[in-house]
Amino acid sequence: MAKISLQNIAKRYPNQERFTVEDFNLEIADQEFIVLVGPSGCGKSTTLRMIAGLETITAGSFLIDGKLMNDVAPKDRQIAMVFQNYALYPHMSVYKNLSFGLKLRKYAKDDIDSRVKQAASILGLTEYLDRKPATLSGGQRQRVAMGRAIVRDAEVFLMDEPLSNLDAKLRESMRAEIAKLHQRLKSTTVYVTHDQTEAMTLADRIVIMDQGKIQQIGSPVDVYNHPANVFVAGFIGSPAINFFDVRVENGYLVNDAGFKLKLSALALSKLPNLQPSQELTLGIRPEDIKVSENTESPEAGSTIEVEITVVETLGANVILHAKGGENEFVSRLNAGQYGRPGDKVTLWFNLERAHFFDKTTQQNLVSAKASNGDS
Amino acid sequence: MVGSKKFNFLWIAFFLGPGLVGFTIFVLIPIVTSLYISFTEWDLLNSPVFIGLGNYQTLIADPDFWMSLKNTVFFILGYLPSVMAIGLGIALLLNSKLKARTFFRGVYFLPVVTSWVAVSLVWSWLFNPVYGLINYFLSLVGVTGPNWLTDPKTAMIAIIITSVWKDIGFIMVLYLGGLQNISPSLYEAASIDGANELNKFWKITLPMLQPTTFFVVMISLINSFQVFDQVNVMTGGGPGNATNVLVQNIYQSAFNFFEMGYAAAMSWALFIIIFSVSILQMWGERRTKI
Ligand SMILES: Nc1ncnc2c1ncn2[C@@H]1O[C@H](COP(=O)(O)OP(=O)(O)O)[C@@H](O)[C@H]1O
Ligand SMILES: [Mg+2]
Repeated sequence: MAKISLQNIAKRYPNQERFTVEDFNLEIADQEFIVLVGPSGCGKSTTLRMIAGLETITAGSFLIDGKLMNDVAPKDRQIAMVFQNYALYPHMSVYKNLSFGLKLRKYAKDDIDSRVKQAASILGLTEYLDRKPATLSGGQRQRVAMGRAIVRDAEVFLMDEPLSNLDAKLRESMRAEIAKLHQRLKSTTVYVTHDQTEAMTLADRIVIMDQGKIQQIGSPVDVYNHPANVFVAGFIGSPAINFFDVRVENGYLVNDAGFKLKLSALALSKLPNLQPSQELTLGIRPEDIKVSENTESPEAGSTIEVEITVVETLGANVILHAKGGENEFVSRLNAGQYGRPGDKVTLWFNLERAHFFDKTTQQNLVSAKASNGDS
Repeated sequence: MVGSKKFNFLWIAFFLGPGLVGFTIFVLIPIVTSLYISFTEWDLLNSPVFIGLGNYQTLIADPDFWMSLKNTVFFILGYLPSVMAIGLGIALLLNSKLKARTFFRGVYFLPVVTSWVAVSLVWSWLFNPVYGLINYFLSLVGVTGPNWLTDPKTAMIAIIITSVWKDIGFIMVLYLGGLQNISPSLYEAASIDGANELNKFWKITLPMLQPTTFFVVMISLINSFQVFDQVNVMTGGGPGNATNVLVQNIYQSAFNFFEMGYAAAMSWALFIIIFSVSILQMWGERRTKI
C-alpha cells in the first residue's frame, strides 16, 4: 500500500532565482502508474528526485500513506529507483548489484539469494549474474537497473527516463515489459519521460509539465482528446497538432494568411461565450484533416484548397504536408495515392473534433465536461 | 605534392634530431657506460679494469648492501601507508563541498613543487632538539622530544615524516582525480539501496578508487626506492647507518670511496628492483581496470 500525496511542492536550487518546480499538486493512488512528461528541463527529474529524497523540498508537503516524508532519508522512504544512466555499481557483478540493497538491509542470506535469483529470472538475467556491468549490452544493463529496483518489495517505484539510452526497437520491447512488470508487482510507480509515446502507452494518468508547472493531469485519452491548453495540445500527439491563429467572422474562422472555414452549428454550440471577431488559436489534429474526394460533396465552406509540399509514406499511413495561402497543414491519411508534391488537393476539416484556445491565455475555451459530453 | 620520400626524411630528421641527440648524450650513453663500468674496477684516476661479474658477486655477499636495502624497505613501510592514508583523507575532505577548496588544494600542493634541499633544510631545523618547533610543541604537552636526527631510533622516522609531508599533495591530487571520476549517481543509488556514509566509503569509494590506488602505490614505490635527497641533506645516512638507504649507499661508494664499478653494480641492482615493480604495475593495471 502506498498512496503518494504532493501538496504545493516547490523547488528552488541554491543560487538560482527561479523556481525549478512550482505549485506541484498531485495525489497518486495505490498501485497507480503515473507518468511525468514534458520537454527537457521542465523539472521532471527534479520532481522525481524530491520524491526519492535526493533533492530537498523547498516548500510544500510530501506524504506517503499520510505520513509527512519531506525530511526522511532516501533509504527510509520505501522506494526503489531506476536511474537514467542506470547507475550500476561498475565494480560489482550483476549478482552483487542486485543484492547490495538487500545486504545493507540485513536480509537473511538465503532470502537474498532467492530474491536475486527470482528477479534475475523475471528479467532474463540468470546467465549474467557473474558478469560485471561493463560486459553487458545496453539492454541488459537496463534490466539490471530494473532488477535492482524489484528485488526489494519497495512500495514505490521511481523511474527517470529508464529507456532513453536504448535503441528504438529495444525501447519498444522494454516498454511492454515495464507494463507487464507493473501488472505483476502492482507497485505505485512514478515514471519520468520526455517521450509522449511512452507516456501514452504506460500511464494510468499522465502529468504534463512545462517550465516547472503542471499543465494538465489526466488519462492518456483525456489529455489527447481534451488538451487543457495550447502547450498540451502541441506536446501530445504525433505528428503534432496543426495550429492556426484565427478569428471568428460571420460564422467563419478566418485569418489573413488565407484561412477560411465555416464554423458548423455543433462547433459553434461548444463555444457559447464567443465574442464577435474574437482571436482564437485553432488546434486540429492531423487525422482530423482529410483529403476530400471529388465524389463526395462536403458541406460548403468546410474545405480549403492546398498544394502538397511533402508526402511521407509510413506503411499504414500517409502523412501529407501541404500549403494553402501562408498556412501549413499536416494531415494523416490512410495508405493510398493522394498526389505528389506540387499537386493541388482539397482538404476537408472535421471541426467537430477541433480544439479552440484563447489566443492570449492559451487555455482551451471548451471546458472538459462539455467536451466529454460530446464524445 | 611535397610528399617525396627524401623530403619527408629530412623533415623527420629535423624534428627528431635534437631530441635524439639529447637522448643519446644524456640517457643512452650513460646507461650503456654505467653497465660497462659495473663490470670493472675503477677509481676515477686510473683506467677501469674489467673484472666481469666481480662487483655483482661482492654485492650479494656485502652486508652493507643488504643493510641499505633493509633501510630502504623500512622507509617505504613507514612512508607509503602514511602518505596514502593522509593523501586520501585530504582528497576526501577537498572533494566535498568545501568553500575554499581551490585554496587548500594549492596549499597542499605547494610542498610538492618545492625543492627537496629547501624542504630538508627547513625540516632539519624543525627537528632540531634545542631550537626546533617540533620539540617545542611536544614540550607544551609535557613530552620531552627526542634528538630526532642524531638518535638512530628516530632519524628514519624524521625522514619519513618529512617525506610524507612533502608528498601528500601529490597523492592528494591523484586521489582527487580518481574521486572526481566516480559518478555521483552511484552514491545516490547507494543511498536508495540503504547505504550510510561509511557503507558508501567502503563499498563504493574505495573499490572505485582501486585503479588510482594501484597507480599511487606503484609510482610511490618506484620513487621511494630512490629516496636520497632528504637523507643526504638531513642525516647523510647517519647516525651510524640508521638512514643509509640504497641510493645514499651508492652515492657514498661512488663519491666518498671512489668505487665507481661497485656503485654502478648497485645502481643496476636498484634498476632491477624498480623494473620488477614496473612490470608488476603494467600487469596489475590491466587487472584493476573497472
Ligand atoms: N543541481 C542543480 N542545480 C541547479 N539547477 C539544476 C540542478 N538540477 C537541475 N537544475 C535545473 O533545473 C531545471 C530542471 O531540470 P530537470 O528536473 O533535470 O529537468 P528534466 O528532468 O525535466 O529534463 C533545468 O533547468 C536544470 O538546469
Ligand atoms: Mg531529466
